[in-house]
Amino acid sequence: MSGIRRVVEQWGTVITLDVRDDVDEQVIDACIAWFGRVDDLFSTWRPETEIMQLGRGTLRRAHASAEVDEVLDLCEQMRLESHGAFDVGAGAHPNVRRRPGLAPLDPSGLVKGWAVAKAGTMLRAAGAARFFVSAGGDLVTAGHPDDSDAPWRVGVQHPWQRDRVAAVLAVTDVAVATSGRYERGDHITDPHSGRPADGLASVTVVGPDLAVADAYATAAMVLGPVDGMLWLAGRAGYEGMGIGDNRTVTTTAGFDRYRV
Amino acid sequence: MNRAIPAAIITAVGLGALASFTSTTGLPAKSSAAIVVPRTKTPTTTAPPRRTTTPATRAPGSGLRTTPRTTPATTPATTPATSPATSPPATASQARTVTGDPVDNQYGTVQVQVTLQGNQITGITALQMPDGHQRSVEISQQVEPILSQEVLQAQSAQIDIVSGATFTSQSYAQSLQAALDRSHG
Repeated sequence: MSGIRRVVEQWGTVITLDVRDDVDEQVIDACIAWFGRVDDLFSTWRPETEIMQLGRGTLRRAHASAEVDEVLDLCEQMRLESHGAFDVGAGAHPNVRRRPGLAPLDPSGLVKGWAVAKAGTMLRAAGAARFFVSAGGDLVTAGHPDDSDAPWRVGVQHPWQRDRVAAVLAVTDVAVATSGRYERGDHITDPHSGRPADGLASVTVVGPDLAVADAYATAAMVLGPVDGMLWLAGRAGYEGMGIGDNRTVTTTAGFDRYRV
Repeated sequence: MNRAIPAAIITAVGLGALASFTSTTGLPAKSSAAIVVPRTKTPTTTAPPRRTTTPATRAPGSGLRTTPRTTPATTPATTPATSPATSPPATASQARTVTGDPVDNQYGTVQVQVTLQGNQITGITALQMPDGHQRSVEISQQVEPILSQEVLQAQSAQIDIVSGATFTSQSYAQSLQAALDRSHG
């Protein structure tokens, strides 16, 4: 079967585009150019980006690009919905520990998913019906991987075993986002140590919009294994799976429909 | 286990499934409601049904269920996901529920219900939440590591994509997604 798979480094991670239809390569190039523009607007690692200028107060919201405006609107929606667990202004809070890349205005918990979703829209507009785009583990799927009606099979990364997955999902035309601490070398509770576990190692959210799924996964991580997962269970159209530091797996009631 | 569990104050402790069950508000708040359940030894029941009906569920889809999985999933892809628990569970693992009193906190009124299978918490239902939503989640006892990288590299990959916490450009090389990308190279 023909098709295009492109792997590019962007946003400090790696993006995979896999289109199983015959499409003009130009649309793939356009997606990659789009990812570059997103970095130009939203990177918190480059002082000249609009998001950094907004954070410093040297750019007014009214003068920001339409994309920045759209993302910040969506972020505010997510903040309200999550009772503040998702907060682009968290980096400016006095009790938040400073670290490189954490900006006073930081939509990183959502913008990657938002940008990948836009790339999916671009691919559809170019006539692609069977593809996935994954940016470092946040992904959109469309159609089916081959000519059969088999769904895409998405492995959920096992938090503590790099070469394993913790679950396999069968999905089509939905987004899957995972937030987790394990990639960044954050503290991981030994499940056998007997220490009380009080956190989530990762949260995976499945649903129609990757920007929202991304934000929900981030918010659930912040809220924790009980609050976060119960909150997630209240999100219409979205299902989630949380893996606790104590190795328990918490899923919302409708999540099993995606599980293989 | 037959003694009455005080329901006025709820703080579920231990039980493997939930090491702590302190805040049930859906909000990043301190403990406002909790059920205290005595810690007991890990149940040794064999292969309980993956899904059980939670009788205490008040509305469809509102029960939070925890399903212990005691068998290692060596062939998870073939685990039947649809077989309902038609036979009644053994007495030792019969589902029961403990309902807490409504508790007011700064965000509103919260009431939760815990479902237990034997000695393990098998579900939590938020019966009443400040935003009016009822909600539910299931909890398994173990995260099951499945699918080895060798399988992927043999190009008999059972997965097309990997969803995970964002890997860095550097750690990508060791990622499952990289193995998948290579196999399609």
